[in-house]
Amino acid sequence: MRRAVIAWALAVVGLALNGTAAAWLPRGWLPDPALLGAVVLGLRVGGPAGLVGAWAIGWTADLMSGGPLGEYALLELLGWGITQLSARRVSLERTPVFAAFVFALCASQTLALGALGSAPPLGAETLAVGLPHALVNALAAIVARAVFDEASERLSGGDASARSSLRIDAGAGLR
Amino acid sequence: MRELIERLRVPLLVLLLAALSLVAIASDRRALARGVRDHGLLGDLVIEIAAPVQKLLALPVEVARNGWSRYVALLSVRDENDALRARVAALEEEDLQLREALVESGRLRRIAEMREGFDVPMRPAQVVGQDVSPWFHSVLIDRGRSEGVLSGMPVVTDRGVVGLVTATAPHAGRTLLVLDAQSAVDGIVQRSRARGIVRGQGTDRLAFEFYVRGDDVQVGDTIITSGFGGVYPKGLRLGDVVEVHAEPSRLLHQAVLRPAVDFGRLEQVFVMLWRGPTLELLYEGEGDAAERAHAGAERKPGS
Repeated sequence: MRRAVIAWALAVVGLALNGTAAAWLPRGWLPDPALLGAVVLGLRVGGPAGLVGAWAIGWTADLMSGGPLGEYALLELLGWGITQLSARRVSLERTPVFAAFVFALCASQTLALGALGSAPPLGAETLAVGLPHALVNALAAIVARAVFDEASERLSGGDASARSSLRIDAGAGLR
Repeated sequence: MRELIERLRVPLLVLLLAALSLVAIASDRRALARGVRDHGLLGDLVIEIAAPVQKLLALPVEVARNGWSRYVALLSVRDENDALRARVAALEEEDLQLREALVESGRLRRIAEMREGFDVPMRPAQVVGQDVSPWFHSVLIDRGRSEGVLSGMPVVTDRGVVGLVTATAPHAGRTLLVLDAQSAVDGIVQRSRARGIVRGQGTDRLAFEFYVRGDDVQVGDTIITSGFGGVYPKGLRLGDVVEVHAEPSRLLHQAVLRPAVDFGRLEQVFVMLWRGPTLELLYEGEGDAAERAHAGAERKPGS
């Protein structure tokens, strides 16, 4: 649960920075902290904690955006689920695979938003925003994964590292 | 049984949260179609916290940009040119200030004209944050219910319509821009009085949808608010026609508009402390006594 809260907190910081930096950067050239949060949770935190964490990140993005309430919550919920399922079939730990996966997921989200009527229909203007957005997210996801791993290792009392390291059972003592 | 519940826990939770999200989307869209959004206490809290935080986050960048342009760039100047360049810089600064004063006086004049044109009290506000999503077009302003700013109030600049306040907290508010795909405003062509709907496209252009009647709409025409929608007062500038797509086989034609407001440079806006008759009626029906009491805003009936 603590790791889900860490991911949520990191996403909120990212969203606040996004709202500020959007004034100086072209549309689409900023990563989507909500998507990154959901992907990292999908990769690292399974079960109800990860699921609720991803949904909460989406809900916060909805409240910080002008879009319909619940849209990002639904998308991040799906993002978490797709990441969980994909991680079982392909090795998302490999950086190029992970970046390609996030690129595809971001593009799918754009199409989903278009289908829901929130993003403009697919055309030159949508591509001009959507392509750099997917590319930036793919690169930012690598950083987000590393930041999350570092933060959860520091703040969760090292349980993250314990999970990924090899455990050797000492067994019974020799008599 | 326990094992089954354990196994179905995540799928059930997915279904529950997805259903909750879908209900929220549907109800929020319905609320926006009526011109009003209420995200409750949680929404209030997020807007209230986000506004000062984003203002604060922007501060170092602004300071750095100003610092760079005014001081740091000058440090690299060679010694023998210092005096000369300082003089040039001083003259340029003076020139800039004079130009700024001219621009400011022109803007103030237009604001004064606009305020005379609409007998409605206005509250100036600063844009403190942009939308966190590249697909939605909204801004965060630093005025809220404590200053009389309520959901459903139009937001303008001296150039024209910016959008509509859709959510407010005590000291901040969210404005949905006319550019957003969720925005639709009743408009008329100033020259021919042809009527249509100005829709946001989610891009930096607007679409004007109108029924064909001869050459009602031409490139260069100015589109203004009609006042018929009951949300915006009549006569506010929306944009200028840059393209007309007229297909003879279709009854509904479309023109592309360049918005009157430069949304890329949106800094100061004015909230019209007025709500159109449609929204007033809606609020009367739903009752926003608490919001009104809290705001204590001076408002005049719709024109």
